[in-house]
Amino acid sequence: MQPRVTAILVVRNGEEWLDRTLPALAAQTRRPDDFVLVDAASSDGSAARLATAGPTRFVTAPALAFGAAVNHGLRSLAPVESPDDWLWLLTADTAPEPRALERLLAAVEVAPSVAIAGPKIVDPDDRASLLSYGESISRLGETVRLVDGELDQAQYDADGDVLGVTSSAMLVRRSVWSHLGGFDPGLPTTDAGLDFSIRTRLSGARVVRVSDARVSRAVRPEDYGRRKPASDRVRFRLGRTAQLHRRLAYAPGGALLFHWLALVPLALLRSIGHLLGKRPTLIGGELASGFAAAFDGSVPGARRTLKRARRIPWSAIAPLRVPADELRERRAAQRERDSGVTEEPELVRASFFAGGGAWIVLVAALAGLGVFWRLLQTDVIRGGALLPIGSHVPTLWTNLMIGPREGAVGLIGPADPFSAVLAVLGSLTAWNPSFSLVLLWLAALPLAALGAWWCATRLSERRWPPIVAALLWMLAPPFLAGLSDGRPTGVLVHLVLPFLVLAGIEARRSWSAAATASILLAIVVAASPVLAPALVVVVVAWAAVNPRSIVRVLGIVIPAAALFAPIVFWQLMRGTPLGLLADPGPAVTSDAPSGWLLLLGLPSAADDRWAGIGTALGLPLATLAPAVLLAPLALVALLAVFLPGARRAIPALAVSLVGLGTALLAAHIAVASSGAEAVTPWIGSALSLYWLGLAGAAVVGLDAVGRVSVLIGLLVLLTAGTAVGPLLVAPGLGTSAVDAGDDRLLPALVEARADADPGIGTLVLSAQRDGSLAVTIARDAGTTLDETSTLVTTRRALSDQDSELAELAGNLASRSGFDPEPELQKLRIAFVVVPDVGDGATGPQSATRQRTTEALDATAVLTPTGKTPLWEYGALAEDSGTPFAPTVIGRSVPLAQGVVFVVALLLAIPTSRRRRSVRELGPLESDPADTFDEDDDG
Amino acid sequence: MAERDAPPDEPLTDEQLSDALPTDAPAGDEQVPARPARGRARRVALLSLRLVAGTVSVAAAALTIAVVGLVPIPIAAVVPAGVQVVPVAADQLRVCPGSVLRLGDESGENADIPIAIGVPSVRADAIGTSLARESISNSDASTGGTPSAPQVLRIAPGDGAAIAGAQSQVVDARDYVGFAAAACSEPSGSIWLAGGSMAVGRTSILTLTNPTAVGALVTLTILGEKGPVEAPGMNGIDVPPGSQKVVSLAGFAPGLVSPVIHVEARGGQVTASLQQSIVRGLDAVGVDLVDAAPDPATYLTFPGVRIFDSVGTNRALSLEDWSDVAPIVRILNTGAIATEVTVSVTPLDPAFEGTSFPVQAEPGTVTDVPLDAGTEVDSGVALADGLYTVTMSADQPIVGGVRVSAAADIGAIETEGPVDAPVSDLAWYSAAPLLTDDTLLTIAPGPDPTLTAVNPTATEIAVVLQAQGGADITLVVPAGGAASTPVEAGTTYVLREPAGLFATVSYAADDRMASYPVSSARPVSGPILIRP
Repeated sequence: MQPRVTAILVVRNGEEWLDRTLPALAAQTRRPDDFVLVDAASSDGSAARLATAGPTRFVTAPALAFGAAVNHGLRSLAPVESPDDWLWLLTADTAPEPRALERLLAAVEVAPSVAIAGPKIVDPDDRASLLSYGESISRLGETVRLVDGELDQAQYDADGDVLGVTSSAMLVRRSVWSHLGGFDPGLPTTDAGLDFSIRTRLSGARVVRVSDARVSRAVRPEDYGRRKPASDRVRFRLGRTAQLHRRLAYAPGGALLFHWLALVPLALLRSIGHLLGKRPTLIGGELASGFAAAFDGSVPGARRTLKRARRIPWSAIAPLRVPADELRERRAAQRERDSGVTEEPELVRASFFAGGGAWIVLVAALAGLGVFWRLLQTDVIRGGALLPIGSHVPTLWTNLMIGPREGAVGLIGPADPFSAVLAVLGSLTAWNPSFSLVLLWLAALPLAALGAWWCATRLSERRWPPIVAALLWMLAPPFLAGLSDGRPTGVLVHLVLPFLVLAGIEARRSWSAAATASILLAIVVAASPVLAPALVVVVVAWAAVNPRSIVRVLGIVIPAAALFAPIVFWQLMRGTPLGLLADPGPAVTSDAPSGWLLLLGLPSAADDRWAGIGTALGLPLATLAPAVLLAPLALVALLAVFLPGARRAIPALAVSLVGLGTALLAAHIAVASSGAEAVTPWIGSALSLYWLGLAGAAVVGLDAVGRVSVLIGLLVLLTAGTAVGPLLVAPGLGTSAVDAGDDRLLPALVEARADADPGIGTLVLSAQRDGSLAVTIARDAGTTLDETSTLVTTRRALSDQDSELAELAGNLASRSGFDPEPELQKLRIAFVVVPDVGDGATGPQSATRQRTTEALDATAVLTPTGKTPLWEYGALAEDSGTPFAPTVIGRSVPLAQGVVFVVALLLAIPTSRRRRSVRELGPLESDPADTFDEDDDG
Repeated sequence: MAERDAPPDEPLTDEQLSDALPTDAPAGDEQVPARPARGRARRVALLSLRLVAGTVSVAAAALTIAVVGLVPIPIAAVVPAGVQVVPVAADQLRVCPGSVLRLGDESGENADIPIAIGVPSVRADAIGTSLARESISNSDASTGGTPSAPQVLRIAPGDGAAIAGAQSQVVDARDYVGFAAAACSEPSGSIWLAGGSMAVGRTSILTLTNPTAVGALVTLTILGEKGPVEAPGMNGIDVPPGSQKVVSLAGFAPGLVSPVIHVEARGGQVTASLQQSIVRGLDAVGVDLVDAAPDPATYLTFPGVRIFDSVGTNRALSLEDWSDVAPIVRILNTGAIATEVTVSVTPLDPAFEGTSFPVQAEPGTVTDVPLDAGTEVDSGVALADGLYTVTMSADQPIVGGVRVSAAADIGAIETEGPVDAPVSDLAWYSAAPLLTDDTLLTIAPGPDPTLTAVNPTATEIAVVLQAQGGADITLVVPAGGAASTPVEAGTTYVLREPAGLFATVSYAADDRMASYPVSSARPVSGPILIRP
């Protein structure tokens, strides 16, 4: 009997292709016996175009999926159920070649067992390019397109039997279609044809692909009805949703529950995989498809349909699945093709060993040991803003929860972001967290040199400029001042900045680099919040000049924002927004520098050591020495804007300007207070940014001047080195603030009792220069670096509890009739300590201290102990109250921050296989760096 | 629409051509030779662009340097929060030294055990509140709880509440004969005592009383004519709460003639009193209690130093071992460098002549100088009987005391044979502290009690002595002068508005010399700025 073919053309907003498709159908050598045009609620001119298409049935349908629209069109046909009734499923964009139907029919006529025949789907613009030719699934049920964008060299023509074909231009036996209920409503686009083919196979019929029938297809099945092609993200989500739907539909009844339960965990696991694979954009689709599958109502229907149709076991079609090893091979081939397309030219940079980086780091390491030899024997470094870190590592982490902040009574709030940095640092040397700071100091110089060298290789291909950059960065005045004055935050910022620049530059094209930059940015901002505005400006500017990766570049700020969100909220609610700029750690004053010192990169007047040397030698002009000695550097940096490479030098100088501006502002806003002193942020970190720009511009300049660069570089290094010489050697000579110390913050007696009775407080009464008395409560063995809080140092108004504490302190510091016992019990204070005021004490300061010690001596409930100015309150009752328990929010906020950082970290871990670059390079000079768009005037 | 759909092979109109190509650039092969020219132009353009960018950058840098270096920017600083705390007022305490003590019993045995001699008569009073008075409970002299023990006077704090007390005692026992009077003093952490002697026959006993609830650790510093005295046991003397400690100074510095003692207490505060007694040969002739001196200062005032029976005293000088009946000033330079102290002795009676003389004081060293060192001793009596104001001024902070003695006139001395010793007594004057506010003053019983006030200010001060049960007295003290008035023994006076004055109560008789300074209550701890 002659087969009867009904062509069903479903159109949904496909006007643009109908001009090609309709003539192609009309030109078929074997005309379809019946022609049904289904307009699935097109909103463009498709309906009108179809209406003029000639002798057909024209059906208007609601906006249905392809399969449903086909069924809708079938309703208009007589229910003739002959085995030789065929349906040819077409969409607006599928234009068959003239003999397509004829050849499809020829293929099915000779094989009665065939129920589905699929043509070669080719690119309309390039008919030799195969878009789809048969589909299958892997062992795990993943869709495998047997052919996906290959040149048709007849390489697949021999093998006709496949597991499935795509829905496009599929020729299907109408009885089978009716029997199997058509396409699965749960699979509106992706995998509709594959799933239908599999069910057909399970019902015992065959599915073939027909090599000599070609149909061109303009859009993928996923894009059916879409105005614009779906993005990779959407296609991934649709594919994954379809796969999960099929998994639930195909799974044996026993395994169904397991599969269902595994949906969400699997989605999370696979999300981590996406992160590691640098495909963060797919995570949304992964999770969405997981949830969609979990609440997929069409699964029971699909399972019923399958059960009804299935005649042969799954094992019978197993040979048609793609085996694992072949799958692996396919994937490898795919990767190869992808990388061939997207691979950017491999960066040419000086090698670490041959380029001199290793030598510079070695020299810097030796210099570091020489300068900080005093720290070689110690576990703890003290001085300036350096305090020991709490010795119990788990506490470092639990302190990150929103809870009581030490130093102020009853102040509940989030921890400083820097506490998280300290928790990480402290965990690195878990046996003695404070030791990490000693290591930081010992490794500071080589780390600075390494970072700067590495970073400079992005700016210069030559061997010499990166070496100059490494030494300049190592000898930066703000860095040496931070090392000498004991500013861990400034030192950390200086060490991280070059790596941040490196990662930030790469961020425009690498997820891994963007994630790395985001973590480094969070560290920098946590250590020095005053840098936040400047860095945000730089990031936004960088995003603006890289509009194609704007999301990725702007995303750099996300971890920092997450880290700061709680404290921003707290400070805003309290009405002290400027307090956000305060440095973490103890509030330590520094001598305000003049504007000239800022220009020289010196963050504190005390660091102007040439002035001191000048005074000692009776040479007042020595004050000018650093200015004169740093002039060559400034000249080279400015020279760079006249030379080729100015496009790199000008942004560098702009960064420098931003840094200087930040330093200038920061030097003039005192946002925190320590006792009677208002404290400005440490401006060394802002000056590091300033120096970064200067050094960067100088490297560009040196890179451009050619052979003289060695000479100029040496001059710059020699002069800059002399300028900071006194500052560099100060820690070694013992004339700086930092030195080896012990981890004792309070007298040993306090420590001993705190061991036995945790939670006891020590009232610290420190006489201030203006004769006032500062009072704080240190819990346990003292307030360690990680326990300090800017919420405490930036308080402006005093709470009732503060006033009560003041009342207690004021009376303890006076001969009074006040009974301190109730308050001491309430605050659980076991000790009172009155620190020494030192040599530079003012008269009122000494008087206040004297008065305080005398009054404490005369307080009956306090026992003076030993010679230290320490009094013990022996009658302190055992702790009866329940310890503070963080709220759910208090726990979950840091947890959420942790999740952000884990995500960033997973994304940052480099996982992509580095392609070995084996090409021989010419002289380094011959290949320009590709960091920035190369100057075409170079 | 029609234009756009025009087939591309349709020839362009002339108009379209001239739009598409530069008018001066001919089409075709002629474009090739134009390239170098354009390259040159481009190079020139780039060079000038670079120059412009560079110049702008340099100008921007110069501007930046000028702005940062030259423009002053005000500092916006937070004001550190603080609370002014006014301490809760505490109980006011006064401690009267207790009875005169002897070392060893009447028989001379147990010479290291202090034993009380008799009971002093203590007068104490309070205004504005009720007075609590109790004996100290524990004493080295075994007087704990008895009337012989130091008396602790206490009042609760209150507006206008004041407390005062004084004691005196006539002693007539073996080796201890004389009259001693002292004010009941406020406990303190630092007490200077300028007086006493450990020469042969002179006994100096230091008593330390801790009336507070906190044990006191006392450190003694003894300075003498040869500088500081080093001896074991002067540190960490434990004075438990509510107890009296008796320390014989001879144990630390035997033979020291001119001691000045600094008592420093840590923990509880103490009162300290120095008792000196004199035995000349076999005759006990003099007992006194030295009151606390003010903290070292560059100017000291001793109001109402009483010269009594100068003829008899002068005559007694010639007796063996009587040389120290002469009046002296004792000066300790507590500063770091030597200083010249100007001592001036001014009689209240303008008819008499005063004197003034310099004394060289080495740092850390005590110097005793006769009070009449500035007078020419030819008539026998340098300073006539009467009241004198002694002042000392120096560049360095000093501590000082004045000792006067009286002796009955025994007439012209026969050269042969032993002479009966005259009755005699001594008195140590401590520098008076500046009176600051209404002050309560109790007059201990004794012979001829006299209040002398010195007014160093430039305005006359009239002070009313409001008697608590007796007649009020108004004392007008001229600017830069002094005035005195007899007061009623056993009466308590309120000195109204005495600010600016220095005052002393003195007693005088041949065998009963004594004095004590008038002190305002020390200011309670003032308010303090606390920064939590």
